[in-house]
Amino acid sequence: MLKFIIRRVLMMIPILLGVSLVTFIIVRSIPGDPVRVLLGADARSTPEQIENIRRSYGLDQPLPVQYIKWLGHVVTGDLGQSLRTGRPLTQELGMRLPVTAQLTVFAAILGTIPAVIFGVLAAIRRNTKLDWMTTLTALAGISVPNFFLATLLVLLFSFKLRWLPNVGYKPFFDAPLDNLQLMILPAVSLALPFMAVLMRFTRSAVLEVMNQDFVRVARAKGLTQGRVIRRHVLPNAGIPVLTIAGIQVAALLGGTVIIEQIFALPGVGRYIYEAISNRDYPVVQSVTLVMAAIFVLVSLIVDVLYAVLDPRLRTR
Amino acid sequence: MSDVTTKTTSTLSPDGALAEATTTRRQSSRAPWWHTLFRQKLALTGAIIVFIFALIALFGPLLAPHGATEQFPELRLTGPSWANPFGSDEFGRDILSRLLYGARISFQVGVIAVAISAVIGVLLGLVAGYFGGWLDNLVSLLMDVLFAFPTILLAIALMAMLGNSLGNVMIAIGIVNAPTFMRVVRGSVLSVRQTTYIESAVAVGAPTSTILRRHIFPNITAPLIVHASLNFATAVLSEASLAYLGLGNKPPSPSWGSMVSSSYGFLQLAPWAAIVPGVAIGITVLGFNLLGDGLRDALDPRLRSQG
Repeated sequence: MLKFIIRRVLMMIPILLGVSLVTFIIVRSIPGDPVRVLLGADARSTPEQIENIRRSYGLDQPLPVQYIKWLGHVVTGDLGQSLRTGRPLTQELGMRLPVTAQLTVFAAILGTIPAVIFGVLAAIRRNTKLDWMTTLTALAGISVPNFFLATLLVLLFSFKLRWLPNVGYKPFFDAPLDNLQLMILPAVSLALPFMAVLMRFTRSAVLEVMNQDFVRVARAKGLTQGRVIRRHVLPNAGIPVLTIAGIQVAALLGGTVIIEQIFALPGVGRYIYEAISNRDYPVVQSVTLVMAAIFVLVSLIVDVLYAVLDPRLRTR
Repeated sequence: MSDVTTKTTSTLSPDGALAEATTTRRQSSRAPWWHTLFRQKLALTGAIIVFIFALIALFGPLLAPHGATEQFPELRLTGPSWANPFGSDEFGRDILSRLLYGARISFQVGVIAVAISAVIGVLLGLVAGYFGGWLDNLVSLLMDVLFAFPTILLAIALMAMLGNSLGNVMIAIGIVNAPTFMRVVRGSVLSVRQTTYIESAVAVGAPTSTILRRHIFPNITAPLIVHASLNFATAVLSEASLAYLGLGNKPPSPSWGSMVSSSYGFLQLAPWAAIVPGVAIGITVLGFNLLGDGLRDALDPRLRSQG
């Protein structure tokens, strides 16, 4: 078991190195001079001043050197600082990561519960009205863009019914009720595609297991339907469903870029979008890396859980 | 490295595509006739939506009563009427006309982005699946790296790098979605490669390029077509999302995504200006998803052998 985990952790390294390299290359190929963006329309700065700023941020060094230096800093926990505000990124992320984390976790919970319940029910009661409704809901869920769902929810709950605010953010620990009110619409908008994918997958995973021989045997030896489902079908179907949920976390993280923009939430997604428009190199580089690292870490956790739950995989 | 990628490749398509199709077919003999009809009806609906969408994309500008950017200041934010069936927007532009023009943008982006993803994915997938070894490890690593990025984030970053134009939207979406093609192709090649006819082709000394072109490729087209259809849906969604963020289209251009975002500020005054293009996106994407599902049921050769 330990060996499996160690091997799996070691496998993260080339992926994260690849991610950092791809990010670095993309960010450095973005046209436009970050120092000029930093100085704004203020053209009064002399070439010497510009050169000084460039040197102070290390932007005058060859690219491979910049990459290695950045990587070295990241490994030691120093993510660099924003070109725009000059604030260290670790501090900035410390403020913004909780917002995105709450939004993502909230959406994952809101999405998983109906997905699993209706996915399982649809599979058990195959070809009933419930099954159709589930299929249609799932199809609609993967087809509606989340920004449009957000628009509809705002129209209905903020403008027509006036139940919920459509913009703003309050930290959970300062004002829990306000926070939940502000987070519910963004979380639902984010959760729908997640729910849809998971629901489709749960349904097919359960159906797949229900066709297995061991389920037929369990039925043949006279177990009740409920017991067959609970003891034999669900544990076996649960494992692949868990993996898909893990993979979909990347989609949730990506979704926050748009959703945080719409609802003006001060999270990581909005931060990185602004940073790309501002050519704030260090922010884009490090935050993208952090997001990818979160995803890789989630896949790692899922894989380890997978091995814990399914001993067959450990021996491979 | 490779055992994990194989696992993702063979058992898990992100939306449970394979498993879904397998179970459907396996049970179809037991399912009541109207269930089969329901599924076929869904696929047929998808095909019709896609057909209409393609027609609008080709001929929409001819059908449009007004120009896409033609402004009628006296009609600003007026609701649906006989003259403007979908109302008009904040500049008094006819939403129906903009919708008809905008279909072409979605369609173009969809076709070209899918083509780009498919070319990259097929080439790398063929190489990785057929040759295996370090080539496979390298391609699989690349795939894992690209999968680690949230797709929309990678697309935004690529847009920043390439520059803000419609052509670059197609390239960015094409690159971002290429790994899914790679995965589908690689997985299919792995299973085809083990067949005896490939073995005999190798044995009679057929050149590798011929084997890839004549023997492997024709046998992976079915999953490829299915994936292309489903991926078209993803590409249309991605284009809409990027347009919503203001990427790819200069403002007056009638991309559906940017129509939704520009009317967000007038949501209370003129909800139709956001709802109409949003519904259009939803229906189009749904069409491609339904068609893809239907094609998967019909085309997947592994399912045919069970039929």
